[in-house]
Amino acid sequence: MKKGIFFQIIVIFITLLSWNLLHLGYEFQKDVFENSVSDSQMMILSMQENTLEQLKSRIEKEDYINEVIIIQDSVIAQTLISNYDLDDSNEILRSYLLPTAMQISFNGRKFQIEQKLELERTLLEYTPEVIHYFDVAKWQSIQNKITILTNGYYIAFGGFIVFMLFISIFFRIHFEMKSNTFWKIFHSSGGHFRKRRKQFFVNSLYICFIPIILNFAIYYALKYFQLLSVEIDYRFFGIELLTIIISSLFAGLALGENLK
Amino acid sequence: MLKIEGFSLSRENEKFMLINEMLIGSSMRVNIFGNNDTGRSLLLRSIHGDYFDYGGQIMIKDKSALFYKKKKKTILINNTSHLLVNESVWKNIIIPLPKITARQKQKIMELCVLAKLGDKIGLKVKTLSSSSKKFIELIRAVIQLPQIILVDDLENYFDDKNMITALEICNFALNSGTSVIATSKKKLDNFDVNYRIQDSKMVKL
Repeated sequence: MKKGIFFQIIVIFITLLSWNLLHLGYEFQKDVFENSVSDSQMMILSMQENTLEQLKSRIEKEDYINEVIIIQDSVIAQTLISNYDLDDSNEILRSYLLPTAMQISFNGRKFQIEQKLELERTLLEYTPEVIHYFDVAKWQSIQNKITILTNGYYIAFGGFIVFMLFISIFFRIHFEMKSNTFWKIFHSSGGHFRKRRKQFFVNSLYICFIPIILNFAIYYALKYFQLLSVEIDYRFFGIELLTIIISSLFAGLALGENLK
Repeated sequence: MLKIEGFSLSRENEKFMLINEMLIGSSMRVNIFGNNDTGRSLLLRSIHGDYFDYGGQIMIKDKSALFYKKKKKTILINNTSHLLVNESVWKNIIIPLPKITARQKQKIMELCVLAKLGDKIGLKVKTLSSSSKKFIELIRAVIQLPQIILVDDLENYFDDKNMITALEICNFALNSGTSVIATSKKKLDNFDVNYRIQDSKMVKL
């Protein structure tokens, strides 16, 4: 393999590696934010347990909800007694009428603004029988961070596509033009007429597939040895491959007559 | 193998280099000689499929010369150097070969020894004399066994002694059916057929 092609494979491999790191970094950070949403639970209180049962059966099948737990008033009383060491006032506390509570934990990835509004509309139907407590400020702050992170990711993603197209087209044309003298001599000395085009195609295959396969192998090895907690959608490798294929096609078009 | 009929070259509406008929068979050494500006180089380029502004027909094995342009059945050696000067002699010889067989390797070595390049095989071409450079081009052409090897101004590159060596190198291809057509300013010895360009016409001697 010629030095030029080897160099291009190395450059594209490093660029793809950085691109994958960007993706992994984004997924990792997004996971952190979404876990924070999952950790923020909503507490719903009602004096009527039936109402909470109805509410539970209505919302528990939603995909943005992880778990719905109803906590009986007696359990609440017992919790308060044990938590605050109220053994002496056990009887007094038992005489109070405590509400039944419902604890909702969310799927951080899916519980976004639309889902939150939907849940609030549902809760509104049960008002005033139920009241709910949720740290909206924290949730909003996390949502804002996720939006900023996602926007930044998309910009960097687009930047990587442009950068990849630019460097791969530039290097391809540069090295092909550099080898013009060789091919001129090759043809004049009796070399096969279509050899250059064929060689360009073979080199394109090397450039397209070797860096992708190496990157995929590294990712697979990290997953296999459980060194990576986040996942990359396989379609992402497809986008990377497509970008390099497009750059090869563009380089081929730009070189035009030179390849004959 | 090579058949040229009614061939003519034109310059400012004036026809020159007229060939009524020229037939060259396999394994023939043909010398075409004549003064400068008689169209010798253009004739070779026309046979090679590099020059199209001519009248008449050029047929190689009953097909037009243009048919062979892509198949590279002819190899033209002219005044322009077609060598990678920063590469070795060996690299320059094997440039057009897709694969080198053991027989080709052995034959290249034999031809290099014949051309006194045996001990220079690893040297860069830029360190060699111009006749050595032409020997490299000749060996490279011969080893491919094309149908015709066209050499323009053969006498320019080789003195009498080297000319004999050059023809010995050509023998390898001649034995396999290749023909050699060389142009020169004066008649060359050791060729099977000599043509002279006289009064814009090709005359067989």
